[in-house]
Amino acid sequence: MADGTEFAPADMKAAREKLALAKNALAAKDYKAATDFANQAQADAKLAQAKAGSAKAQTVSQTLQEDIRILRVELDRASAQ
Amino acid sequence: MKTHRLNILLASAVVLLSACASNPKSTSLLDQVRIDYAQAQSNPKVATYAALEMQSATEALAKANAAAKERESLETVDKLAYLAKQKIALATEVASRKSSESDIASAAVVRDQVRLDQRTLQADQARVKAEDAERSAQAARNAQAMATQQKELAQSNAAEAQRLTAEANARNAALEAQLADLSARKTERGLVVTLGDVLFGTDMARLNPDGMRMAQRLATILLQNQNRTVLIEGFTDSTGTAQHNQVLSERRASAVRDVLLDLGVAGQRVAVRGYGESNPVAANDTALNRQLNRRVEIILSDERGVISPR
Repeated sequence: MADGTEFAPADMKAAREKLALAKNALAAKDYKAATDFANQAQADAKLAQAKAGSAKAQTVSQTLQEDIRILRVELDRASAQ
Repeated sequence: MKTHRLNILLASAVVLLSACASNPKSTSLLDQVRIDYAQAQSNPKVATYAALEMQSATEALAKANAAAKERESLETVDKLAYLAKQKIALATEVASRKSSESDIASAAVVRDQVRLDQRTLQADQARVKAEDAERSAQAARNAQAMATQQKELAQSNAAEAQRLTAEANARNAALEAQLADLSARKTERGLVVTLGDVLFGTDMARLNPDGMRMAQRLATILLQNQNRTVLIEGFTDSTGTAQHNQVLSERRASAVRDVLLDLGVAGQRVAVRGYGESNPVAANDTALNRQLNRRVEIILSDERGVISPR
């Protein structure tokens, strides 16, 4: 979840808080609330992970597009010689 | 009594409040989630790349909608709406990631193609350069061969020139040996053979047998050296009239010419001049000296057929 902390800090924070609430509810034997918080924590965490994944993929894609652009410039320059 | 009425009032208020609280057809969160959902549905990437996640989001939203329809508590509706909201966002993010990954895959293919193009271009350029170098090398080899050929030609020309010079020298040597037999003198005008008076009949323009032999040798030399010409000059002593001497000198010179022509020498190679009693080689005071002055001189040209005038 290190990527989640880096790329989706708000979602990760929400997930941690919900997890803490779920634990408290469990300790208080409020199983209904514990289940609700656990479900929310899971949804937040999954979203954080997905955001991290999409951000990384986007970065890689952009880097690659830039690589191609530079290669094309080099190719044009070389073929102009 | 008063207390009882108040209790009834409270109870009805509680019922009213509870009715209000448990009667939400929607919440602001649920409204927002419905908008999010519509956006996700209209996103083609979501349909392509996150169908499973969208299915899960659809189910979550359906639960929230059902809870709202069943007029469950606001808290319950919002809890379900929140889960639906996160699942919709998840579907959108997953779609974005997979779309980017697809872009990455196709970009990698494009990048490899561009790199290949680059290497092909480099190889082509290297090949063109190599061909240019080969052409230059070939041109250099051709120039080298031509130079060698010219050098050989020059050498062969030099050898030919040397051979011709040697031949000419040999001819000259042979000629000089032959002329030595004729007692030829070397002068500034060339080699001169003198036919003395004793070779002619007295006061006559006809060679005697000794004179004929000398003329024959001369003819032989001229036939062997076709480039050379002769000038035949006649002289007399001072006895008699100048006109007589002039005529006699011309006739004696012409007599020699006629003999040479009879022996096969071409006419244009033999020139004749009479000088009469001029240009004596001795004083006309004694019989011996006068005999020296009565003579015919034959001047042989150089290799080019040129004779300096007297």
